[in-house]
Amino acid sequence: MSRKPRIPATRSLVAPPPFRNAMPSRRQALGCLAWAGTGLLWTLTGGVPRSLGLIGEARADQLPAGAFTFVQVSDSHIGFNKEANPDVVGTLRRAIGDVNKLDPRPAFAVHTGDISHLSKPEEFGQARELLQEMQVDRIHFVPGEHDALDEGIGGYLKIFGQGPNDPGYYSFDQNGVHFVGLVNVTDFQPKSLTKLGGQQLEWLEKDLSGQSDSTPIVVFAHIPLWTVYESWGWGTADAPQALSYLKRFGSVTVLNGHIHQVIQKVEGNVSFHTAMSTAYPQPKPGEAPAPGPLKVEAAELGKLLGTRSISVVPGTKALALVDAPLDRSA
Amino acid sequence: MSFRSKAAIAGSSLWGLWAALLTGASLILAGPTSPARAAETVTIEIGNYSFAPADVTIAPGTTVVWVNHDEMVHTIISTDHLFGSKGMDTDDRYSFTFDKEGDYGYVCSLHPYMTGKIKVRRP
Repeated sequence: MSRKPRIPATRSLVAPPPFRNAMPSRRQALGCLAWAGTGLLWTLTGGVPRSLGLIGEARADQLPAGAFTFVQVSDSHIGFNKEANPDVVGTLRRAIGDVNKLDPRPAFAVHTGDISHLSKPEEFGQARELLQEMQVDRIHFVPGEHDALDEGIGGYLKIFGQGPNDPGYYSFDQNGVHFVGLVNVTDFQPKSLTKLGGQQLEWLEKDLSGQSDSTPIVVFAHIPLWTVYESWGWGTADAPQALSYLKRFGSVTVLNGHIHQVIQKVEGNVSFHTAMSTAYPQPKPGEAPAPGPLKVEAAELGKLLGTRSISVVPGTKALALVDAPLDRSA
Repeated sequence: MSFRSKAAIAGSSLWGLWAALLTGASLILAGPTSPARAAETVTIEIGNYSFAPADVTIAPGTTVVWVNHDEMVHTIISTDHLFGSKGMDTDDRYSFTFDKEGDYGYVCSLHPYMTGKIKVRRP
C-alpha cells in the first residue's frame, strides 16, 4: 500500500456499539503482554494468550473479528546530530520500515512527541516528510518539550495542528476505543515537574464524561503521567487529577515517551508504558548525573531504539503491547 | 556652561575623558567588596545541565551572554517572561542586556530543574 498517511488528524470517528466485557485476570493478561525484545506478537481471545508468531509472520486471518492494531513511535528528534546517534533520519527510516512490515497492518500510528530536536521549521518539515513513508492511514501527534521551543507549541501547530486556536490536545474514537492526546510540555515552572494545567484538565473531565465505564481508554502524552524520576523532570505534577477522572473506567492504557526507554507500571485498571526513542537512548533513572543522550557502542544502538505495536481485541480489557527494537536477536 | 543634553556633553571628547576618570574613581571608591561590575559583558557557561555561575550580580546596562557547552539543547526563559531564547544547540549563544535594577530568575524550559538568577544592582 503506497497511500500516504494523513498528517495531522484529530477528528473523532464515529464509534461502533461497545463490545462485551469478558475477563482474564489483569495479572494473567499483563503476564503475556508488553513483551520487549523479540517482537513476539500475542493476542488474547477469551482470556487465553495465543501467539500470532513473530512480527512479520502473523497473518491477518488470525486476529479476532473487530480487533485492530496501532503503532506508537516516539522521540524522533529530527535535527539531533551528536555522537549518541549522528543519523537520526536513518534510524527513523528503519523504524518506519519495521512498521511497514507489520501484518496485520496497523490502522494508524501515534507519535508521542519530540518529533523535532530544536523546533526548527525545517526539522518539523523533514519529520513530516519522513513520516509520510509510514504506510498507515493517519498519524496522531502530541508535542514534546523539544517541539515547544518556537513560541511555545506555535511552531509545532503550524505543521501538525489544526489552526491557530488548536490547543494541541484532543480526542478521537476508533472501533469502540476512546483515544485522548494530551499536552504536558507548555506549563513549566522552576524546580518543578511539568503540568497539564487547569484548562486542559477541565477539558479532559468534560471529554471523558460522555464515555461509558466499559469503553477502553487510551491516553497518550509526551512526558510520563506518573513520577518515574522527579529530579530529572520525568513526571507530571497534576497527573493525579487526570487519573482521578480515569478511575471509573475498566481499561485505561497510558502511552508516554520522553525518557527514551521502556518503563511500565500498573495501578488498578490503569497501565502506564513509556516507549523507546527512534533517535538515541537515555540512561536509566539515577544511573548518570543527568538524563542526557547515552553514548553506546555502535552495535548496541539498534537494540535500544525501536517502535511499539498495540493490539486491541474486543471482549478483553487489556491491550497487547509489543516493543520491537530496530535490532532484534533471533 | 550652556545648557546641552547629557549625550552631547558625553560626545565631546574632553567631557568624555572626564566621564571616564569619574567612572574609574567611583569604582575605586566603591571598594573591593562590591560585587557589581561596570557596564560590560558577563558570560554564563551552560554545562552538565547547570548554569555557571548560577547566581550573578551585575550593573544596569550589562549584557549577559549564555554559551551552551552541553551536547543537549537548553533554553533560557525568564520566569517573568521578560526575555527568552529559542533552542540553543551546542556552542550556540544567547544574550540579553539588563537595563533595570531587579532580580531576574530564569529556567531552562526543557529541564526546569536548571535555574539561575541575575541580580541587577546600581554600583
